[in-house]
Amino acid sequence: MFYRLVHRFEIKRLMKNGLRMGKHIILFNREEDYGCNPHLVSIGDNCVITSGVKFITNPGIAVANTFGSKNDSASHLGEIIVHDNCFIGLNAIILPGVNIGPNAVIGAGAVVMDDIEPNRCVSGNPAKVTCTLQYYEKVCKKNTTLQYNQKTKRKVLKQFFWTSSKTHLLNNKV
Amino acid sequence: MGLLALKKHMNNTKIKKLHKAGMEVGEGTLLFTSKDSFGSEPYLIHIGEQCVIANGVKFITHDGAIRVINNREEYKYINNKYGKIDIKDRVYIGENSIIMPNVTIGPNACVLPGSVVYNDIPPNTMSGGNPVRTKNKIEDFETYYRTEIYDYYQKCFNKFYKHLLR
Repeated sequence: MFYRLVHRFEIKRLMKNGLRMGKHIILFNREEDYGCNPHLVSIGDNCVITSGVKFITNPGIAVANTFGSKNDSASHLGEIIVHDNCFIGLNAIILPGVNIGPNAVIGAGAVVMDDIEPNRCVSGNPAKVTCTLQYYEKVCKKNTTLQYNQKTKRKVLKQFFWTSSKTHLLNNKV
Repeated sequence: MGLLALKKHMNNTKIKKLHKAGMEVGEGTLLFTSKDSFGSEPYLIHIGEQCVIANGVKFITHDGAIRVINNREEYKYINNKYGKIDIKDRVYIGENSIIMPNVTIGPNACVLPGSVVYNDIPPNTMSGGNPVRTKNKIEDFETYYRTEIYDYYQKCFNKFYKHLLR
């Protein structure tokens, strides 16, 4: 409860600093992860950004190599654009000057260096295309749909995974 | 109470809280992670005996990326994708590594720090990287440790701490 209040306050502060956001976004991200200039990041509609995702808009290269000359340091900055309907996995790192196309899925722990085309799933370090979104849809369709409420969720899932022998139906890895 | 005893006490209280949430933890395991790292469904995780799980390890038991498909009207009623994580006895998991759903990590295995585990890890192996790959058998590491590292530490001890023995 306390964490939620703090998080809402942080998002308001980010918006004041110039972070561009669309509608219906889910953010589990902290304020520190946007770096010193959040006005270079823009996020589209219906995006999900999980905890520990880091947007790097200003790498330390400029500080390390060009001592004092302020004009050069500005050239290293890069804009990050996340288009509509994207998912960014846990602890992923996104480097400057990257466009993430609509309907893209980024796996957990990925390090994104180049642009990502629309309707692609991406994972690894450096990030490579693993499959298209159509293949991912096929795998998801095969899954058996479990019926549960918020109250009976724990009981149903525990019974399905640890006692019954139907678990091979859900073992469709992408 | 000494510092080591306090650490043991903290570990036991953490395991008790996780038992209430539905997770199974064997005897002699050491958890250096926080309680939040076991995700929203800790009852889908089993951990065996005498494991070591280092700081910052994250267990993911659901696939949240299904929301990308769910936003369309055709696939509105697909449930969230879940999967279990089964960790057998005597497993070491390194720092900041991520473990994905539907994964079993076999007995006597070692996962190097910073790796992302998508597939099953066979028993008696060392593996690491993002995505994860098996590097070598654990017997090779054992022989390497017994012969080279042990001698190296003995040499260092003789070099730096010999004056303490006099």
